[in-house]
Amino acid sequence: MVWFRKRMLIYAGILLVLLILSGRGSDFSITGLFQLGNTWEMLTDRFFPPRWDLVPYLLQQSLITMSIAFFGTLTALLVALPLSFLAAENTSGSAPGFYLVRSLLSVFRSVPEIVFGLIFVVSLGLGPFAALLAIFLHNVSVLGKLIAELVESSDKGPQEAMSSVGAGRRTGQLFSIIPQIWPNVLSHYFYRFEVAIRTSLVLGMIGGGGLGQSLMNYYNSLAYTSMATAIIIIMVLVIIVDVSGGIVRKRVI
Amino acid sequence: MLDFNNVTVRYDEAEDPAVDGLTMQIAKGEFVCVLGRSGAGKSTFIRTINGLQPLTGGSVTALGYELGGLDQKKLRQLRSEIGMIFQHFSLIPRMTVRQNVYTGRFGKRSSYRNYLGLFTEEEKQLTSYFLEEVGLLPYADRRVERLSGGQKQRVGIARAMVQEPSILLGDEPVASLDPTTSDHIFQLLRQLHEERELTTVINVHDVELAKKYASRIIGLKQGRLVFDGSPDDMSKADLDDIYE
Repeated sequence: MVWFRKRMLIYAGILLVLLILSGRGSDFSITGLFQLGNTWEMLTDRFFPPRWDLVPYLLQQSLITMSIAFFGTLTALLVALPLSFLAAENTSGSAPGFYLVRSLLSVFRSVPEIVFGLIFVVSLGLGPFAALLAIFLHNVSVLGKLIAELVESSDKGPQEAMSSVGAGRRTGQLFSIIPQIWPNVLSHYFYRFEVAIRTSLVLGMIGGGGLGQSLMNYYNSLAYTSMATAIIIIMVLVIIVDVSGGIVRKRVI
Repeated sequence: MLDFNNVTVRYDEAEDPAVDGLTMQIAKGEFVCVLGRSGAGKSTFIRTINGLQPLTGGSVTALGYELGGLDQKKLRQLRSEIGMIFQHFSLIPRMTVRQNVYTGRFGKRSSYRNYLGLFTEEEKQLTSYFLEEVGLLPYADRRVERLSGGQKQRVGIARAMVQEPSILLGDEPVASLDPTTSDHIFQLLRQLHEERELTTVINVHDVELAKKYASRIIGLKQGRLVFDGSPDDMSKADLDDIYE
């Protein structure tokens, strides 16, 4: 036991108990795993061949999905950036302001996008706008929190240098912190954009439009070969965003 | 030019004060090196001059203003007259050499001109002039993280000089550099000091550098003044007293 302390065994024991309890809670069964073959059979029997004639229509729908994700996350980033400075302990300027903004971000973050989506579908009607607002609100709170943490952990040297030249507080913060955290801000943004694409699919299923809505329509009408086409387009979409995000990150860093 | 009257700084968690009842004057045009062991209070002392370090007691008067009584606007105005260079350079990453030097003008301009990057022709010429002085004009458009330590400190010096300061402070400016580069940096600081009669106060660990370039040496020990005189006046016993 050179590498481990005794209390590690206790932690491992606790984790094991929690794992068993959560397995029971989620109906996990070993025998169920052996039935995965049925899923494969169902996929090969019913999902193939995909309906390629639907590609032009589904590409149009994917544009709606992309628009929801892009508009929702980019506007969220623009709002979250200044908010994050108010939500960071070292730049907020006042303790009550810091706690207020931080708490608001926490409250909004605790509400899943699908809940926002359900509310907006009812209040604003079916369509992409409800999905867009849901993604915007959730991402303002997530990006606000993540960027605030980057602001808090930024190097204090350049901030001190800006104070020493007599720069105003906000000017000093802007110029000394933003360049430091920018690559990580972009990294968070691209991750959130990628997540937003998947989320807008889910929101589509509850009436938010785009690819998600098409997917749900095909599922409800048992059109599995059409579903297969939609799934392939979703996969390509996510891969494109992931790769292009990686390229931009590399160029910026 | 600089008047310290019973200056005391005590950090919350510390038992002893970092600077303990320091009283002295520094006249215009002096080149002062501050010696002392790590933790002797050198950095704290330097930072009291431009108000980066608030005082627990006493007063500091710089360029005719008592720092304790200044509002934020006046303090920023005073800071714009005092250049400072740092041990770890404190440059803004991902910005070019020239952009970093421009930031030295921030205290003298309106915020919106800073945000929009609107610099006058005179300010552009001034920036180029000091980049030339520190030998970095050919690197003006290079990002600062691609420079060597010595070059980074030269950017720091150009940023401080573009303020057109009356006082130049250095907080261990050569502590991260090799001996040859350190000597070159001190040569440059001395040259700038002589060209402009610039009051210069620098913390340094290297006694030889201090003796070679300073017109006056101040020795601090546990926050107290234990030596104050010219390099020629400094004996081995004085040095032992500072560093023992």
